[in-house]
Amino acid sequence: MSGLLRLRSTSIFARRQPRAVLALWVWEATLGLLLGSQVASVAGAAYARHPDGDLPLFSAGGLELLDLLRHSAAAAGPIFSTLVFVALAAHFGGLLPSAAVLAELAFVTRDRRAPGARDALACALAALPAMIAIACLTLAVEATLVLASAALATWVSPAATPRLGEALAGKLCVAIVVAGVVMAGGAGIAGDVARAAVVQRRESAQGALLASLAACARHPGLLSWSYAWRLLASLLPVAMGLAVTARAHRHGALALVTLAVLHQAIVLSRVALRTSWMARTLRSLG
Amino acid sequence: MLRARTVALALAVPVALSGEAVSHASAPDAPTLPRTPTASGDPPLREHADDIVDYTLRARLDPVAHTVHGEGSIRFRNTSDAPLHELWLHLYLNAFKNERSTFLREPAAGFRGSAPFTDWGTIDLTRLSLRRDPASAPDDGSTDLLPSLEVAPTRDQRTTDDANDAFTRDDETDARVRLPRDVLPGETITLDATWDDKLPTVVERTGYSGSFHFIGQWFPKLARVEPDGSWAHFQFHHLAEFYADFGTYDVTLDVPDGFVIGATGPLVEARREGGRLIERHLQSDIHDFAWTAWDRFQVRDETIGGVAVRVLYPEGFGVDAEKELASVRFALPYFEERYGRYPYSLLTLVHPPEAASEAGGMEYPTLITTGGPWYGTPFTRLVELTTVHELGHQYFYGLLGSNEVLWPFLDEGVNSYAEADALRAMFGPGSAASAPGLTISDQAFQAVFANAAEHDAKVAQPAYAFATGGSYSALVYQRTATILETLRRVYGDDAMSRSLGGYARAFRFQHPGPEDFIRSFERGMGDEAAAMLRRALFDRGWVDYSVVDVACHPSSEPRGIFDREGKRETVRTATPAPADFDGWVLVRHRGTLSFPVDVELTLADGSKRRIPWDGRGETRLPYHGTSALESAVVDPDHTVLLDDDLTNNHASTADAEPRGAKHVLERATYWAELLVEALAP
Repeated sequence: MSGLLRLRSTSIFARRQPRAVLALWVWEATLGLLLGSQVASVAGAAYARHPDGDLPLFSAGGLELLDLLRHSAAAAGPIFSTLVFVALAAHFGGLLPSAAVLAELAFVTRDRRAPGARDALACALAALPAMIAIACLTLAVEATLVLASAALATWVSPAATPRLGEALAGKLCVAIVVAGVVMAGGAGIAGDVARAAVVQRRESAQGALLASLAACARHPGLLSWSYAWRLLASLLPVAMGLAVTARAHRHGALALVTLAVLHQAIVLSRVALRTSWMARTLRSLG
Repeated sequence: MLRARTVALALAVPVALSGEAVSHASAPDAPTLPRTPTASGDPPLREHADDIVDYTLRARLDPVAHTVHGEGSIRFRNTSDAPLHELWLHLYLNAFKNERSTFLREPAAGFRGSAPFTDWGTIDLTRLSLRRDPASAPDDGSTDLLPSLEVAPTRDQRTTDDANDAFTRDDETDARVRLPRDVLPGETITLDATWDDKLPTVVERTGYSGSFHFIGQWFPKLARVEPDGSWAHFQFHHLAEFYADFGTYDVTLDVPDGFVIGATGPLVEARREGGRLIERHLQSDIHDFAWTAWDRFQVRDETIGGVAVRVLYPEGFGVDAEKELASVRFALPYFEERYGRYPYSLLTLVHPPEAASEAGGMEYPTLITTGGPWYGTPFTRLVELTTVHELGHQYFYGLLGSNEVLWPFLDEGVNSYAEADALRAMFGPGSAASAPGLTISDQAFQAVFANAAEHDAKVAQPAYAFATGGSYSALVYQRTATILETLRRVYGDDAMSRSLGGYARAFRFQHPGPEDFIRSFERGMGDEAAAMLRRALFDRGWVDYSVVDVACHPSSEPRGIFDREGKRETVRTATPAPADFDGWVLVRHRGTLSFPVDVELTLADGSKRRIPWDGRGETRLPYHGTSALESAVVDPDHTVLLDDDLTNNHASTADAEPRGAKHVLERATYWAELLVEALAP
């Protein structure tokens, strides 16, 4: 770890670290599989011996799906527990792999190669306490902004309705909540930059936050735009995937494999965009 | 009543405006003239109801005090076989008077009407006098009946025990009037009444929210007299609706200028006078009258199949209004084809503001209320479903005036079937919800909720007999619809058309009961179907099909001792028959209902074979073929929507490789990955 050199900002790009992208994808796929396999076990218990397997659960009208949900109510508790575990693992457990990816992006070895997994993990472990502190603070600020905007909307709604009518008042409330979400997004950007500072500069949580605020203050528009276009771009493959899934009427092993490849390609492209955003946060620190 | 109908037709002329013209009002055609011939081969539809009770009312709304001052006359003809020595009046606004009312004391939460309301509602009769037909009683003058009015005189018609009595004894919604002299069969009397309504904040279909007013059950309404002379009178129960005789309603509504009125029946006269808008609405062949007034209504008019359709909706709810019109454009001709011509000249749809959503989703003659948020509920058909459901009530409630208190399945249940059937035709498998890659049908929703409640209570029982709103909804609405949809799928569309279509046509403008309904199915589908229908409605009938086991092995010559051509042979070793297989499928039927179904066999070569099964008992269905039998599915087309559990409808041989849940694993993993990404730091 001590042998790692900090890359110049202009040299930090996600495309130079495909291994980091793959590592993040593996992490997400593992968590996804954990939850997915539990859901599938419920379906499998009921439909594994159907001649079409679990395909009836996707039939038009949803009768089999609703019937299975009704008869599998007992499985809801365990699935929910797994969901909570996965959510916590994704948010807090995800700090470690994301710190490792930041290290992979931010440093090189003395022979100008990407750090090995051991170095990246060591770097990530060192950064973890500050990363957790920043994640908690960011989450608190984001939640406060969203809840405050929702509370404001709830307060505005009855006052605005008699004057504006329900529809306009409703749109006003939506605008207020969207504004809250956008501000929470801003807090999220600051948190992302702060985490990058923790890894890249080995800052304490406080120092990283100050560095983040300075970076955000230097290029507020640029950073916001960088985040926004990646966010929008990451929604595009999901929408395309939905459209393809809705029109896919073929069944069989090949169709299933094709769909799985498509879905994982979508996830991978989103991971790549996120890694690209991490690289951008590192560059923003100068 | 001929006189009333003649007056109605004479008055249904283009609006005669006196004073300032009223821009938003249009003049629909005559209210009850036949517009389209009935389908060839059908028996002629009854053109009019037997006119028994006519209301001529006048109502003045004070939208600040939220009161209605009413006055008018009720002309009633005793068409029963017995002399009547008393009258029963329903004063249903008193359901919201205080916490002693049956409505507020019945512990039947889980359905509409459970939301708290903040302002009480009352109806106070200040005058009630009797006039007899001069022809039958020339010496009788007007008799004041108010002193003989007994509010909360006794229990209502329900059979009560002491426990139930605790909920009903102080109610003031059902009033008896003792008559000074009997009303003889065929005799006509007139009641003159004056009353004052205090409207509650919107609750159970009626009331106000700001300046929005929806006004239902607002006048003293005569209970219905059954043919034997008994009065079908009921307190206002939490889950129950209404029941009344057909007649003509001539109602003049008086509201502040600037308000838009929506009401039962076509507008026949409108004028502005002293800062007030006065409209007269007239409609015969109906059994209730409701109206609404709001100073913020937007209006859309359209003529659909000769019917003047008007949508009243809040500003900014144009998306909903368009969905509602689109629903009527499709469903009105659809219902007319199945259940007969819509006999009225207009239909008003009222979309209440969200703050008054409790007024939504309700039916009155020629007027229905809808609902839904301003953004139009993308991916779900909530607005369309509500509209089509309430429109269907124009038949199963409006034209077929069954007793909604005693037999709610006859209106809500049958109409839920009609709703789902129309939505299926309109939207296909996504008739309840449709998102990319996922469609949910209204029928699937109904079946799942219905089957979950199948053992809870009888479907065919009075509304007040249901212990919770949840079981009322699941059994009356969803279970009835699922029973009927099962019958349609098993016996076919033609049989359904003969049965339900025949019922709707035969009992138009009448008050059919459960036996009339079941007899229609007996005629249209046969005895077996009618027996199943009766059992499903009255005896908690249920059914579950399952494939218990599937077995298959290569065919072989049987072993043992055989007498062949006069010789005795002993076969000791099984000789495999070339490429032949034998096997069986063990199918099981549980429950008190049974329907013929198919069993689909899937063979090793990928082909499928169907075997009809009478759907009774436990049966081993034999198999012999050139390909090995792998698995079997009972009722593969889901004709029996009542089937309690679909997860046991299939099985495979022990040798067959389980297919797992690969598709679910793939999709669930993908969506879980997206979730992980969304939550990632």
